[in-house]
Amino acid sequence: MEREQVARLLEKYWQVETTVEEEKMLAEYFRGVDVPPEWETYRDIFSFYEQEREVKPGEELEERIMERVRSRPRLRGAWWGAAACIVLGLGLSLYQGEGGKPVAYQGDKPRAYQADQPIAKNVYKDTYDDPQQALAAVQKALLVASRNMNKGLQPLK
Amino acid sequence: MYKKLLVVLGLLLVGVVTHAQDDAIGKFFGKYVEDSRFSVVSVSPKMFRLLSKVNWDTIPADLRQTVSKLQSLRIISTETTPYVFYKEALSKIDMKEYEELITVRDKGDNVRFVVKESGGIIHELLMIAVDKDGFTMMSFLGDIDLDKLARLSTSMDIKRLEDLKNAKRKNK
Repeated sequence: MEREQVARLLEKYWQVETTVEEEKMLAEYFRGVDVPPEWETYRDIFSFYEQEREVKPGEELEERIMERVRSRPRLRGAWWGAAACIVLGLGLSLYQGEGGKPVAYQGDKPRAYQADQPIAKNVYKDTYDDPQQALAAVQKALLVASRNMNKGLQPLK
Repeated sequence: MYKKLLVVLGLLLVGVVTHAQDDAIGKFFGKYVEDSRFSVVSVSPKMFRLLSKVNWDTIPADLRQTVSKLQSLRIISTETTPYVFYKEALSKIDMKEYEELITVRDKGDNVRFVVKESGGIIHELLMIAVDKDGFTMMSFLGDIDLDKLARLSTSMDIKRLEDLKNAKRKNK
């Protein structure tokens, strides 16, 4: 490999832009004998990487890991998990039970009702900010429902 | 043993969680509220309370009464594969909770009304409609008077017809 090419690859290398192949080429080059003295440090670096790659886990590593896994008290957390489940479940069912039935209305205008709960769980973001628009939508929806209802009742008439 | 216990508890928890949003449209909403294929309209109880501040003068009395007894409205509709979603919606309704009210089946044009009732008062009216152009699911919560609701469209159509007549007359 030419010196200039190596210089260019080195440049790329330090920009972290080299491909795997290019890095292999560099490693190979620095493994060679004709490395100029000013690049002597690079030889150390690349040979270090090469050496590290050779390091393999010892035979007994897997054994040691498995031993630890096996000897660990496996389900110590289970009781805590169980407790958490029960508490969560209870909490949720209490939350469920809290709200009563919707309060019946009297008069023409909606009265503020106390039991928001049974509905609140399924309330989604309001589509309209403007009550006027909301009213128009409600009106339209009621009309659609009403029409469809009549569609169902018509054959009987 | 422990594992089994964990599984059972997990299942219990899942049961509780799904129970928390057991109402049909709620389930459906939860699944598709963010889906761009669906258009969604939601009017919350809070908004219904605000409605009382709107000018009601132009609103027919029948409608006014009906609206005033509602607590929330949710509509979800789509034009994509309407029959697929219709089926899915139907499968999500727990018929133990709802009572069937009206079912119309006319070729590809299906409408179903189911209600939730207690003590003679209808607390929820759920409409599921489908035809080849789209699928709509609509849920009204509150205190719903079906007679009044049924009458609504006829009276409003008549009123609209009259408005139209008047407008024509004015044009002449």
